[in-house]
Amino acid sequence: MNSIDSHLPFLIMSALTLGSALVVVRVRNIVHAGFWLLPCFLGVAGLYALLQAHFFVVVQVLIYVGAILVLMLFALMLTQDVMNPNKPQTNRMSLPIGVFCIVFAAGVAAILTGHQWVNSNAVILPANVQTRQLGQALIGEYALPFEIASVLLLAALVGAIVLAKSEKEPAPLPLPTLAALPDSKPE
Amino acid sequence: MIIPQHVGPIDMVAVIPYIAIICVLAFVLLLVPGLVWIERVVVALIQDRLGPNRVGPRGLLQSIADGVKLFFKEDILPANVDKMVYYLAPVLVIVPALAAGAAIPFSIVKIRLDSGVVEPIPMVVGNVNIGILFILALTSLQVYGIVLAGWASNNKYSLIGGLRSSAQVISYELAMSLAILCGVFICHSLNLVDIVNHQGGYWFGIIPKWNVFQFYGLGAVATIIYLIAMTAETNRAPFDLPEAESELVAGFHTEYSSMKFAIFFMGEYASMLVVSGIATALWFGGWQPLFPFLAFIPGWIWFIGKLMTFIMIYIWVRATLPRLRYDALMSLGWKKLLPMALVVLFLVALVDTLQTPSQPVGSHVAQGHLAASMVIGESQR
Repeated sequence: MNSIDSHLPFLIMSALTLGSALVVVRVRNIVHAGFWLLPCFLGVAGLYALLQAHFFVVVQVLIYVGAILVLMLFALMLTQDVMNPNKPQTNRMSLPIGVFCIVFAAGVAAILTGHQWVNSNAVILPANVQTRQLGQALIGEYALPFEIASVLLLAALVGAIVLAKSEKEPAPLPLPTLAALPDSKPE
Repeated sequence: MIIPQHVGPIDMVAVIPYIAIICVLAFVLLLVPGLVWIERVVVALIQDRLGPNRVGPRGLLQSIADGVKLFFKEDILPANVDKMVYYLAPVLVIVPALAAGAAIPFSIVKIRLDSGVVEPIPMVVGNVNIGILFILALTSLQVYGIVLAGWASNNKYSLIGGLRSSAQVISYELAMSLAILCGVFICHSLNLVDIVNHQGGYWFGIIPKWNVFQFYGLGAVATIIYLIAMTAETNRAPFDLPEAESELVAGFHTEYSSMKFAIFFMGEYASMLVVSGIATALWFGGWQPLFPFLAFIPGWIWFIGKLMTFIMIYIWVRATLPRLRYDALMSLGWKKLLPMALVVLFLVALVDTLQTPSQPVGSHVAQGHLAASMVIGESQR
């Protein structure tokens, strides 16, 4: 089963994910970069599909592609001067960070290749059973992490509102009433 | 009507998904000219105008003439547009809409299998176990076409249209998903065929057990939330801010001409048909007849009838209501529909919990093991 044939779908999906991720960081136009995240996320959805995790495929498309990426593009289009291709893509920390990334990747690769992986003989359940079990696990066994994640997201939301709201909001100007306008006398 | 499994050399059970593909594509693509004609005639009636009346009898051929005209128009590429994204955007509008049609079940056929058992087979391209999520995921992709069209056109009106669209779709998707969750709670399934099957039967032999009448009026509230959100989701009037012609020329498709414009137009109608199809299947019983004595009418006629009712409501609303202002749109979505949908979801869950007999703690684990062992048994057989 180690022939290239059986791994072909996995290789295609990985190539799609990693290739488009590379384009995301290399392309000069930042809206194009955001757009290239689309095949990247779809590739991850494809990897979930190969693992027969149908619920995650749909949720990946629904949340990451359908919501998060749209919001990212929305923010990009609203940000001033972000689409200027003459802006430098790197800053002075790029070299140390690059070295760190290479060392980190090498470390992760060393750990992953050194580990003895056990072939799982888990049975693939139909999508509706998978979904039910996931839901029950989230409110049962994993209730605490689930709640902590919710609180974290709530804190992020509140923080975003606090940051976005200016210190002193100017009071809205009172609208002039019709009678106060100079030329509103009935003819 | 019961069809035998083998008609000549054809295995009907295997053929049904292919028939369904042809039906979905033909229904969406061929019906669009008809829908445009219906819309123009009905809006003209409501606004006391004549409407199309020159080409063909009662203007019936007007849409076809328009289509032929659009087909032969010059394909204009404005200066300084982002070429790849500009060409990709119309495709991204229509493909998700057509793909989402694959999970909508529009009828049920009774087939007598070779073993003699009569089995109801749903007319659906793919009977996806998590069909409703699949459709939601695909319809959420549609906004890309609009956003990217607006951005790639290199036109400020288009850009504003695209931005408005992304904010609007994201906002109303929340209320829409929560309303759909209510329906999922009522039927205990994410499979649209199961959801429709669950809605068969009648109270007192006359009131259909559709989800809209379920749960002491909560179903009706969720339905109304869904119907409002679906109008916003398809960028139709009174939520057509992305293409508000009195403010933004033509919004996101200002710079598009000829067939690319026609594809945007078709995408809008295709997504209207898809969300109306979800409304029919999820709230109004899909192919289930309204009254038991009307059961002799085939299911697909019921489905199309209900679908066209929603299209008529779309047109009626468009001709009646003025466009919302942008801040009113946002406050309706976030301050009214979303809290309302949350409350309804909570109440539906509460009623559902009270209705189902209580289970001892930990029984879900046992159920999970049972399901797992059943599947193991299936695969080992």
